[in-house]
Amino acid sequence: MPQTNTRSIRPAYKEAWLCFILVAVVGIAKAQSGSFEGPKSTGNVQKSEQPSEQSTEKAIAQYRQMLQEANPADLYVTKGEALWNSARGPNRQSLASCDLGLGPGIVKGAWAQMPRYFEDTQRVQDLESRILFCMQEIQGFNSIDLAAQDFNTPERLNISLLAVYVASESEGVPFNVPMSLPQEKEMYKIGKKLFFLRAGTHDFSCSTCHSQTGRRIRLQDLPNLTTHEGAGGAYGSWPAYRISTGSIWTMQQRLSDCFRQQRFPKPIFASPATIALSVYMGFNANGSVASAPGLKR
Amino acid sequence: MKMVKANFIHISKKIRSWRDTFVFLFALLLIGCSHQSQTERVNAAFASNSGTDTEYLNESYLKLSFGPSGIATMDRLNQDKTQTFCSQIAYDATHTGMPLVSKNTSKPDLLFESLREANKALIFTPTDLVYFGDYARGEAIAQDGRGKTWTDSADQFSGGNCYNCHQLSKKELSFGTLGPSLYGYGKSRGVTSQAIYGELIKNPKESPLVQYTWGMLVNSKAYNLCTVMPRFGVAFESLKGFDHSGTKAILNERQLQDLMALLLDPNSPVNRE
Amino acid sequence: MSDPMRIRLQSQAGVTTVKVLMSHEMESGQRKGDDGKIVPLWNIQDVSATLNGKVVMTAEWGGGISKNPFLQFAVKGTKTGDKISLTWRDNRGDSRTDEVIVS
Repeated sequence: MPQTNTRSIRPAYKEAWLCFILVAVVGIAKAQSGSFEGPKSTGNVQKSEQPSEQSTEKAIAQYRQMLQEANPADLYVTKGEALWNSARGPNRQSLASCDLGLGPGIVKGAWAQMPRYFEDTQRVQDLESRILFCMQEIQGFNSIDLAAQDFNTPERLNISLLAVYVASESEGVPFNVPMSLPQEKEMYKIGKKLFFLRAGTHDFSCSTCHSQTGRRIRLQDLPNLTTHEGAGGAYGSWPAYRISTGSIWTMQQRLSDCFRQQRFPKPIFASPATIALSVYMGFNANGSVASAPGLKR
Repeated sequence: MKMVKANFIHISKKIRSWRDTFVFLFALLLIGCSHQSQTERVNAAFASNSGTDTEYLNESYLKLSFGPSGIATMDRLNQDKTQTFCSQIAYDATHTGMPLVSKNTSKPDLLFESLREANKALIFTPTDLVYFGDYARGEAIAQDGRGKTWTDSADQFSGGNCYNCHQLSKKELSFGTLGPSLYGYGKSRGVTSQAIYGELIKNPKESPLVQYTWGMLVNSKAYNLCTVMPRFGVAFESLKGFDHSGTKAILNERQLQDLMALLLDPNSPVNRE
Repeated sequence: MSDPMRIRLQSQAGVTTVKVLMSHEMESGQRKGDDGKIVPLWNIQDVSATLNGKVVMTAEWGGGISKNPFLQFAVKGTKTGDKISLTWRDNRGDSRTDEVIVS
């Protein structure tokens, strides 16, 4: 073997090996960062599906962005505002004096500090239970009868309109759910316990679907409600306009349908346990900016 | 309550023993409870909050916030031991950062193991050792998410709703990721020909793959106690002692056999594409 | 009687992008109601836009347009103070007009 140019060859080999190792490391690192967390699947199916996964997600994100500009919820916010200010109910009063926690009649920014404890009811109340209370106290509606109805009855639909209006007045405001009073802390604990409560024919709890990041049911992304990011994004986007039903859904309605799919018995509208869940999610969301009204499939 | 009072006077003449009295009072209680209307339930729910919310989440608290609807009865909120155990460790895990769906058993935990064994005991052997059915029906079961909700009827067959959480056939793009992909399940485990599949059908008891797959479908909690996967083949009465009229478990034996074929038959869309 | 349209304008260099959200049930005439009977057709059939009174856009809609329809289009040659007017007309003979001023 000729000995000429040995010096020029050896550094080249070294460089080549370094390059090879670098490429290998980068290649392995890229392969490890799959789009799903959790247990590995058999075979290489998940990895070979990834390119089409990403293009599906991208297409969905683009579609959502286009729709965001045209959220029909805006139409319902206008209706809700009109309802809020009109004299209704047996007492023929408007809700203009309703205290949502910032003082009578102050709607702007009120939802972002709910649920919270209210001195006049000595209860922790969420958006809908508080609206229900004001409808009874000021307008003379019977909150028990209203709560016993279904979501699609005329007056319950009105509550959804009022809720979406009030929530929209906190758009852009960071959540600031208080957690200083023992009653508030108690509700947080109860909400968290219920969140993890497995029951029913399928052993489902809220946490079955909502305690891991990056998962989905069919093609519907699931927020991780135990984390700040997940709770902030998800909790803050309800009430929302649901395209599939062409209607406004509030958090109470979302919870009710979740429990239906969990094969639980039916939650009572604005009941303590449902408020507790909003306390849990709302407090987890603190600091995140409210985005309601949202737009959902 | 007036009607109940009249019955009391009428029936009390027939009571002859303490046992009868006890049974009668118990029946009264049941009647009273079942007559509670939705409005009354709501009333109770709202009334409980007139004071401070100092009650922890217990049975009576839950009863104030939920009500029966359709086939979704209140006894569904009664947890069995597995549900109680797994709810607790998930609640605790948020503090410790431990994974929520499985438990680290490097230190043997007696309760964990005994619950797993109890779940394992609920895995039944199918009639005539027939473990396999029809994969086309299996695919339909995997796609179907109905059953057992308060908008379903009592005699409605449940689906397995497998695609909710799993990938299965290659063609179906609308699949979830709560569970691992099952695409190529049989193929990647060596069931690559009808001959091999035939062996599984003939000698299912000798095949660990058949036993494991069947076991997972019937009662996944026998393998991973706190998995989020439902116990599809376990009779409700053996879980908590209540009986849902119409169907015994989420899926019946034939449906489970069809899912076995979907997963392991080489001709099934899960394996052939 | 019908709810107002929500119109948003984005103007740049003499071109205004008009984004309008209309409030309308838009029944396709193919859906069955809870009673099992077909819900009758009730939808917007014509949409038109004018710039200072001159028609700049017309649209004829069929059965595929969804509830609470959203429409976006661009108008050339706009300046501050121009009036853009949107009109829709449905199969029941109802119509609605809303106006905005280019800022």
